[in-house]
Amino acid sequence: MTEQAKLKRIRYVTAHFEILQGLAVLPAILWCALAMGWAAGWVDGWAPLAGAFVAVAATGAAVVHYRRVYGQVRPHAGGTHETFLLWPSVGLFVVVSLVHALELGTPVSPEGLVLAGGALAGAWFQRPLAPALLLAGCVGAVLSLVPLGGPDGPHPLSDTETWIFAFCAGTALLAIWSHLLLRRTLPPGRGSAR
Amino acid sequence: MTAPFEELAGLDKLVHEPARLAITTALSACHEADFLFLQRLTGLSKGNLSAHLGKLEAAGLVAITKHFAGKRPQTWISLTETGRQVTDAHWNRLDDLRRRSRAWAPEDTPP
Repeated sequence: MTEQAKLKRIRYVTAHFEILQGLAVLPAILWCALAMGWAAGWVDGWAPLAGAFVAVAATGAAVVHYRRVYGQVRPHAGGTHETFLLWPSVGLFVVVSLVHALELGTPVSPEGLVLAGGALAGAWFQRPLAPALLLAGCVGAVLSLVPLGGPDGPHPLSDTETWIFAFCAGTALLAIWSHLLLRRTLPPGRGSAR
Repeated sequence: MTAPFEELAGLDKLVHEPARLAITTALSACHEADFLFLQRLTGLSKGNLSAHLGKLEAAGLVAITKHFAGKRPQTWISLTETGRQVTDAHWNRLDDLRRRSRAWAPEDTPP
């Protein structure tokens, strides 16, 4: 990596420092996935309830960890640092919901394809996060195009719980990559804790 | 030596020094950052980072504020308006130099 590329990464990580704290977001994402698992009947009813307490505690612990190990950054007031992933994700979620409401019943999954398209578009616009978004997008596209529900459909990824679960899985991958990006830019062991 | 290389040698060393360039670049992307974040970012020891920040502060490029969060001392660093202008100007100059040095050919050299 050239010096200029390193400095660009420094600028990106500093501008998006809070949102890149992936381990703080991961428990909430996993809880959503657990809730979808409960809705689909894959897990018992008490699991999401117990998981909520664990998720809140884990998020709190992760926030404290980031603050102690990596320090703190106050972003520019009124910037897009907090919403640079939020609004595209909400928009994507709405589009998938609308596509799902059409109940196309095709052997491929339109919902999965929209999600995969969103991840691939995100890889173009958010280059430092591209490896995770590309992986999620490509895997999602392949799974959506393979007629997993048979030639007459419907595709399993078109079930509400399943595509929300897939969305959570992609977001979890992104959260882990964000954490790794932070670790690479601010490696542990450099400097000394105060 | 010919332009753009003469200009390259004449870059502001206060900002162009690698650690200070990393500090000012990071600070240009946020409102302010604490000492620990900058220490992680640059990999410098406390003493070295303090020395670099001291030079930037003396030149009026950064502002340093210290206060307590409970019993823990906290040091926050931000770019001043001058610092922001100098950092932006430095980056513009670097981009311009990079573009010109790519276009530069040895035959441009005067006899």
